[in-house]
Amino acid sequence: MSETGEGAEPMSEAFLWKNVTRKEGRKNVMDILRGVPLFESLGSRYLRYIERVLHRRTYMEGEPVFRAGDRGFALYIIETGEIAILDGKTGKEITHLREGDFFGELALVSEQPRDATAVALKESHLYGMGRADFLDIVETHPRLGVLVLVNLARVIAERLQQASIQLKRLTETGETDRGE
Amino acid sequence: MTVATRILVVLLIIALGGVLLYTMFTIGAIVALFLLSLLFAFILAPAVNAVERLHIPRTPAVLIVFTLFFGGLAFLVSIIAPFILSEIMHLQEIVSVGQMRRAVRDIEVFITRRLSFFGVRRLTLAPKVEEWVGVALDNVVNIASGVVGLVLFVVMLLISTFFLLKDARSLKKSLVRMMPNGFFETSLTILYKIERAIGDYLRGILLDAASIAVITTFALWLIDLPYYFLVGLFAGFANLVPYLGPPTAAVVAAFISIVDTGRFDQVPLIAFVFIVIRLFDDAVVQPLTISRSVRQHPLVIIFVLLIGGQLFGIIGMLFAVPVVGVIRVLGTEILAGVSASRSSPSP
Repeated sequence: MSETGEGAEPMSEAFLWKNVTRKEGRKNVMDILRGVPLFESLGSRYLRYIERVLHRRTYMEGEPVFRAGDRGFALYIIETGEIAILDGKTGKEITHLREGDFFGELALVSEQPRDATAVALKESHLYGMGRADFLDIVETHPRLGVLVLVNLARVIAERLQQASIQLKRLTETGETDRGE
Repeated sequence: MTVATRILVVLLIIALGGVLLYTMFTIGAIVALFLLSLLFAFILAPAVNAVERLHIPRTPAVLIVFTLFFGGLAFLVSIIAPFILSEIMHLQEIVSVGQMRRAVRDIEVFITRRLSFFGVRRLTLAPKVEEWVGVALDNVVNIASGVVGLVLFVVMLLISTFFLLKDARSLKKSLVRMMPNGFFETSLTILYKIERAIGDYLRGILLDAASIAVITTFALWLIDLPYYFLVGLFAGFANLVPYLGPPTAAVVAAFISIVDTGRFDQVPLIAFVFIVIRLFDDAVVQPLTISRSVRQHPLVIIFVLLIGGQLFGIIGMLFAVPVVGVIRVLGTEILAGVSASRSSPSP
């Protein structure tokens, strides 16, 4: 079960039944999805629809998930491992993401090239969700699609707000420096 | 990648393509069965998705759609099949009593008179036409009466369609799983676009063919053409083959009229009816049924139709256009991916 991030379990009855009656790792996927702000407030039934379209990928240490300039087609959720997001121009680390974090969400709504590079810092298991699958969900389960889109809009709005605050701070610092 | 390596890769791809084409040609019947299952899966997928939207699990959803669709189809066939078979039997009688031979001779005279300035003096059409029509009618009757083969084919078709519908998602996931990480996102997009291109085209062209079958049957009934139902149905099927199908149906209708009546009176009217239907199809039906994005250049379509027909018969002709669509999607996406990776800044 190390694949799903759990430690070794004794050969108990529960352990045996877990392998017979349930898809390996399902509980963890659902738990991880519940923690992702994009899927907040979704019931188990809707989360199962999301789970169905996820693709589990494994990235080795140093392997890029995507590079700046690549056309973006998927969102990623980290199951295990660590991912560094690097500035597309300078290569400087912008942020460091861990288990349960997600990135590349803009690709769900825009075909614009990626403006940053994502690299696995150690062996990482990610769940990828393609824009095509997302559009399929919007089409086949419109209510679920709207809920995810609203959450996505909120995430983007929060990030914009933070960027705006940072920009304001930088502008103020620059003005102060010039004044001195 | 050096120039030599690139040439080697291209040669390898061409060789692999050749082997694949040869293998497909040698197992043509199985490929045709698979393509037909794929066709039904594409037609029924939206209905299964709609049932699934009612919170019914996938397998029962497939079963419900299967029962309704194939049950309805069987009911329809049980109603119209005896009627069509009796019309075919009647046509066979006309062929056997020599009525057709006389009509073909009349056509020969008609053509040679008008083409005499080309030096055309004598055409030996009669034995050839008699052979073609005899073989075609025998084939239709043999298919219908070869119960064991037909039942086996239908059962195989139902089973493969069922699994294609039920496991479409997991099949797609398995395919994506095989892709290296570098191609993960591109493969998702390519699969989506291919699914869209094939599905939209097949659903569109089938709806178009069904509409044309109904319209033609009605129009031919209005002008009192003998065997109007059989010809209307044939026109619908022929419409599945772009450009080549509709004129073929018109020729068949004119030929049947000449054979049955022994006169050419109805031919101009038949030509007029088919031209009007063609215009109506191009102006009204096709824009409503077939997505513009899957349309190709007429020259490309004619050549791929001929290749598809040569390899897998009518099924090959039906799938020829979407296969070109698939190749176009693959080419566009791969080229876009390559140009994006070339222009990406190095961190």
